Amino acid sequence: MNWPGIVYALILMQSPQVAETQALQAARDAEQRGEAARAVEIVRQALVVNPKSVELLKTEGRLLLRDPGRSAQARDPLTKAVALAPADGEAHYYLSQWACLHNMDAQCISEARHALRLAPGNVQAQLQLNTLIGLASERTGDAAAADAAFRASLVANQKLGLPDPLSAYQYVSFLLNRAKDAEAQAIVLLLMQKAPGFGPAWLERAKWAARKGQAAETARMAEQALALAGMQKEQLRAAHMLLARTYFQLGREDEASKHQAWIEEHLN
Amino acid sequence: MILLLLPSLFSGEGVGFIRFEETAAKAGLSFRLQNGQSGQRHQIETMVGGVAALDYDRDGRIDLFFVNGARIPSLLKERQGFENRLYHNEGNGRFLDVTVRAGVAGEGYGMGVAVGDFDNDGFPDLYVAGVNRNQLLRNRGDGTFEDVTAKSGATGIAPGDRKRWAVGAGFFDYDNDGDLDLFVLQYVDWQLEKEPVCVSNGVRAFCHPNSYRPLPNLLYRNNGDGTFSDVSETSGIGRLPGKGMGVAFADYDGDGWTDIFVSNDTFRNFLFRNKGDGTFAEAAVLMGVAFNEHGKSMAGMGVDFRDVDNDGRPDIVQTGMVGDTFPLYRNGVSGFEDHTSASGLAALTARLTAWGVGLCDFDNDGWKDLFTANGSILDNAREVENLPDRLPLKVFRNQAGRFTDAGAPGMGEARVHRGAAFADFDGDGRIDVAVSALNDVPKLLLNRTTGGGHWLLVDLEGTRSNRDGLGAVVTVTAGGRKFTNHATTSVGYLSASDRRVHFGLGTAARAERVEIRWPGGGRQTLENVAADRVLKVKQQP
Repeated sequence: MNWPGIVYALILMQSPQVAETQALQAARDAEQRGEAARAVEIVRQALVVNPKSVELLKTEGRLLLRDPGRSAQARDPLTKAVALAPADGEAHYYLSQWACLHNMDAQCISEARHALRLAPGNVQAQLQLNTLIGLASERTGDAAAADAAFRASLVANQKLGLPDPLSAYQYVSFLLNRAKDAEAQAIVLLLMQKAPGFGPAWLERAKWAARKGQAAETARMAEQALALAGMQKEQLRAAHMLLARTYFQLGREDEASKHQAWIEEHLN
Repeated sequence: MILLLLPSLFSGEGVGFIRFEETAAKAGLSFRLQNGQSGQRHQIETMVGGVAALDYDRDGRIDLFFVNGARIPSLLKERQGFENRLYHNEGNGRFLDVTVRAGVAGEGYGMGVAVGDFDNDGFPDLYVAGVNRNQLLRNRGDGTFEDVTAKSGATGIAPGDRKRWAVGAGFFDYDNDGDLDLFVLQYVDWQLEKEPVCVSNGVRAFCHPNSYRPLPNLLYRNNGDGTFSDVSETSGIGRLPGKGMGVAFADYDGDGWTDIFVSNDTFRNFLFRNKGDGTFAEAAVLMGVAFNEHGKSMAGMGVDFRDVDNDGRPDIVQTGMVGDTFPLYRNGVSGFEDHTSASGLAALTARLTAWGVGLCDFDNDGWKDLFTANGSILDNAREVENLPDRLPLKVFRNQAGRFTDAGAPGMGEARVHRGAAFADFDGDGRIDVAVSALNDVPKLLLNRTTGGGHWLLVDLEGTRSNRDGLGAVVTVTAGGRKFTNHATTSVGYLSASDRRVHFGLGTAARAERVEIRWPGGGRQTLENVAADRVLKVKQQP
């Protein structure tokens, strides 16, 4: 047995409550070191001693949710956590996430709504949970419910100063898919103002300018999107695509060729 | 009284309520598409199979051909049930199985089918693409076919190579010399003994296409003497490996030379611009159809390449998998624009996985609607990803360029649909659909739309151009509106549709003008043409 393993075995010999606290800390430490599998192992060992620990079950579920190869396994601990602590909003939230991740849309919505009811004043929860409800409702084809949820999420997001541009962008995508361009662009502008480092907003604005035939504006917005794209392959490609076409239209063929060349070099 | 009035609220003048009647069993279509499922989730199992709509005996009624799989691991049609099937349309709603008499049962693990009269004798021939065997079946004109694959040279094997996995093919005249050439669509480098084992959520599943190497496609030039030459390399077609799932032809730039769009699976699409000198330039990136507007190479499957917005230029619609949305690339002045969201298709298709696809005017209102043959990739989709494997068929009604779910009734239960072929099987001027379904019997959807518009079905016969007239662009002016379509059999996923060119004319009972631009040059114009009939047009010498 390795040294952390010995320490952990000693922890397990203590009372269940102490073991729970220390296991959670050890799991957090492992997670911070990037050892997610080890963190899950620690929590599972602690659950042998304290199988009804809601905190341990939630932690196991949360850790598994973040592992694409094992996310399906998160269902069991999270279901147990919800059964043991039906008033624990966080447990419902994680179970909602699991359900959403695994195309269980009805369960995703019901768990998220349950969690919302348990956290009436929690603006952060309203932001996250309404986004989940919006995504799942969109998938079930309930556009009205999706729209209402995304809108509620945006309101919460704005109350917090728009810290989560990705959630707001989910609403933009929803609106664009329904050809509600004007409503989508209002949020895009908000994002550009409040979260100027969020590249997808600039890209959407560039596409909008392209649809309006505003070549110079398209180029300006797409250049900004490109600068913010980082390593996001599809965002980079989309920005280069727009720029190649726009510069070609503007007669700036050298610049168009540069972007064209990038696409050709990054085809797959 | 109020109830009696309701249909008119939905229909309006010249606008029908799209509906179908599923008649496969009644018609005697007992074919069953069998993928030889092994439990090992071999990639080939999920890909079959194509359907063809053709009038093989030239009796004026459209017959049906179904491609079938084979036993695994032998990849041979070892027992009854794996044969390809040809059904003769008896004209009374019934189809008669003529496979044995026609000699088209086939060999090997079949995938897709192309139809074209490659020898210009007036009888449509078949090319069956497959995993281990491609077959060129020449129609003798007496109800039988002969296998001329070896003699013709169109074996689907590149010089110095072994047989690779072909999924489909298409006939078109790329050099405008008056005979049909052959494009063979290849998927990935797959070998049974090297099949990787893939697991998703702890369950054995079909592998992602990234597990396999892409393959270049093949192009055969028709020598006009019953043989073909492999021009894949010299034409440029064979220089680009891809993961082809669909091929469609149209002259997108109006230069008189037929171009090629290849729908690739999780790989950028190809748009081969025909330079008119026997070579092609790959222009998908430049023209804006290599990726969708999000910069994503989607899981491209079937494709149709027709004018959706009635501006006279062919547009492109592709099917894909759940989450992709099915892109509509609108052909504009300086390339294509991703029109998926604005057309309404993004929201309508986001949760679908589709294979067969066709742009047809089902209600004859003058706007081509969109049909998609839906079904999961995974036969264990419920187990792997909590998604249904069986999906319903869909028709999206085109209302001046905006699509809505037509909610068309009568298309039968959800199945794992694959190929689809489009034709007017019962000769009533409404486009019907034949659909294959994995490990299931096919569907024959007879169009029962009521209150639809007038129509015209243009049956071309080339004299200087290829006899099928494939590649001919037909523009109909009726009621002051202009409609454009072109002759092609390469439609959708691994399938072939009727070569005749269909038009819905809305409320116009006559066409002021029908103009044909033949491949290879030459225009022909007819004036004051009565609607609601098959219009036979022979190319003027």
